[in-house]
Amino acid sequence: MKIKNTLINARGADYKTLNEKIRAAVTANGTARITLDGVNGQRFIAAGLERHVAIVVNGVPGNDIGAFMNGPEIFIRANAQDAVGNTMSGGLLAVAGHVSDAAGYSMRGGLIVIRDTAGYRTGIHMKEYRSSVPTIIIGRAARDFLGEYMAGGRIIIFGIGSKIACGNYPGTGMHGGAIYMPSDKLPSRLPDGITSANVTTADTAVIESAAQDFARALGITRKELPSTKKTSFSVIRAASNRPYGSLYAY
Amino acid sequence: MRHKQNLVEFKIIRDRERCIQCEVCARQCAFEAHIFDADAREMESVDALCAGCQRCVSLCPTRALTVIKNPQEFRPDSYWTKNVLQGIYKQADTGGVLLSGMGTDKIYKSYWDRILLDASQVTNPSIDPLREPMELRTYLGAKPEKIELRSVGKTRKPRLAVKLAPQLRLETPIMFSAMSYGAISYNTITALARAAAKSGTFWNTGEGGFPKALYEYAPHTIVQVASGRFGVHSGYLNAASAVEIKIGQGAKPGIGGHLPGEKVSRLISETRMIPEGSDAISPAPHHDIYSIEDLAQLIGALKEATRYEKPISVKIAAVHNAAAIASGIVRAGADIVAIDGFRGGTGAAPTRIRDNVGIPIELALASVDERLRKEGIRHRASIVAGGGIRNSADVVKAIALGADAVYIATSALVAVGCHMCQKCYTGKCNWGIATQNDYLVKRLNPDIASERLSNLLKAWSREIKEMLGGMGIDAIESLRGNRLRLRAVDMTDTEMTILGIKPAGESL
Ligand code: SF4
Ligand code: SF4
Repeated sequence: MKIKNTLINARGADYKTLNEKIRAAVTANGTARITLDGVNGQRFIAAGLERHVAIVVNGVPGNDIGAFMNGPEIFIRANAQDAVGNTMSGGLLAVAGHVSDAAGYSMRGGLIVIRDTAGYRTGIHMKEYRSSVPTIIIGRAARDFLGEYMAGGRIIIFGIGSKIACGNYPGTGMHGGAIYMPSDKLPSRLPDGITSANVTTADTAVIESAAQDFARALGITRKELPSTKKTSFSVIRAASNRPYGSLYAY
Repeated sequence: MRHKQNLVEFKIIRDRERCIQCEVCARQCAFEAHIFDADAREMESVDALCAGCQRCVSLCPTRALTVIKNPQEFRPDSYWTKNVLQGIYKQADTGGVLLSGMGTDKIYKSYWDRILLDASQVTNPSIDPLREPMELRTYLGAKPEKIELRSVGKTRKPRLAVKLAPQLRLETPIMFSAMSYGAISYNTITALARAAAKSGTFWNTGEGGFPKALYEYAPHTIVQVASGRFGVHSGYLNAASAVEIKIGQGAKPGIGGHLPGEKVSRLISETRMIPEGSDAISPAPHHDIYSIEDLAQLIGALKEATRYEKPISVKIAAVHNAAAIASGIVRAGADIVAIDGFRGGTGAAPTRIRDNVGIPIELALASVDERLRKEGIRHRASIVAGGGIRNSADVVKAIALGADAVYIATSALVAVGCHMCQKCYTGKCNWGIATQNDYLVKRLNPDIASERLSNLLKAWSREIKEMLGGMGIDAIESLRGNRLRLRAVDMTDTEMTILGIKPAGESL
């Protein structure tokens, strides 16, 4: 079957106009793939979209790309800004570059793949529920406070080309989910309330499948990522799912 | 065991002549203050466990029980009061932060009770609401700066040329404010949703998600987006009639919410979309909002995700700088600004915060309305005031101070049986409201409760019409911001200036 491709020129369009065009293209029969050309800082691209559609972004999108979305597969051929995939429920966001702060804020399903570096507070408030397990995979590194208040889901960092995989205090206020990174690339300061341990076989399977997803999403080969056999990985988990259980006088 | 220093708060008095040992009280009290002593064949009570909720008193078939405030005092001291000492003892025992439910019970000046309403005499006749039509219908949302008409067709029929922003249509200017499923029971939110639908108004899900089974009430539902984003997905946003961004809450400005893991039951976990038994944590800040510009971004994202079809509300706690903040909120694109006064209730708040942070809604409301008018942006958003609205007179005063509508919550809970024991945070609410325990939840019948809520709205609406009629006004719109119809007693000049009202006795 021939995939219908719709090309949208984003040059000079404000975010409202651009999003209207995207929505119109999505509702038009048969569109399975949209290419956005000349994107330059427009916010909220594909916010709230619930269709299974592939969107290729040429240029740098503004904040909140894919916010609340559930279904689209977005491929960004550049860096992206703040709050990539804010509260997204499902679908894929792949970034062939860096992203700024709070990527995957309160994400509850789907996959975010970041080729290079992610900013502060990546994966803050991520939550999982039953089969809906949100996942963020980062090629190089993330900044401080990774997975803050994390209540579920997975973050996997490969640390490619970086001395440390993330900045200080990953998992502050964490009460669910798991963060994986190479053991020799853990940051020097870890917060209270978490445990850091060597991965189990089940964890290794998670990392291995993340490596494959990462390679597939960015169109590279699995070999460009560290091998799960040769690299030792650590996993950060919450010490308790009741972090504030003893704070109050009843 | 360590020696406990505190005094019990309540005293349970049982009339032994009347008691028939039916054990109703023992079954009714989730705090387990009543027990049947099988050896003595007598009912016994433990005063220390009593929350003073009056459930047993109400249900005892022979009226054998009386629960009173324990008359035993520490040595009287008007500064180091019993409450103060109790707090210190409790904290010395546990090392914990003190918690409370409901709004503050401390004595602060109530401005509602110092404001009097006007009525017409001779010159501007009053209107009989039983005979004449009285309009309470209220639309919430951004209003256009000006109306333009164009004529269409051969008959040159006038048509609106401006595109109106989405509006919420209320048949009475009273809505149920945010109470999450989790803080209150499923039966309670069901009753709120049904009553809102029946009375042509709205209920608010709070930040606890929107159970699928209640989607039939979606046309009367406002959903909330708080920092923890529980249960937020595009289906949730799109199902609702409006989306409210929760920045703050009157009972605990600057403080977030923690739903303790033991309350996260199977159904709650489904609605909040988090695993059973895990803490549900909503810290005070949204981590993507540190400025008005950031707020504009979240408003924008929500508008995009709901295709500009729904009004977006922003709820803040009433604080010193509320007027400037509200101005920013309107400029950020909000269609509704909800302000929650320091008397507002809560399922759980640190007691010191509840009792000491925030300002009265009357002052916040008046200053916000004034500021938006001065800046010429009042039409760009509706104002909803909440936090301690107790009756229809409070509603009328709030509207005259500048509100478009009010939010009520404590009054609504009282209507369905709450006895203000303030123990909501224990999850043991004997009235079946603030609990997730099935045995207790069953006590609140949603049919009866929704009927009672509808009755309350009906009665208040009727009273509002009476008051409007008395002023010679036939539409609630003519009352909005009409501060000339208010007069102050027992207030300082500064207070009157802030409220924008004259002292009682001063003519127009
Ligand atoms: S807590 Fe309520 S039901 Fe229990 S003894 Fe006290 S008044 Fe009665
Ligand atoms: S809701 Fe229940 S626990 Fe809370 S104050 Fe009312 S009666 Fe007490």
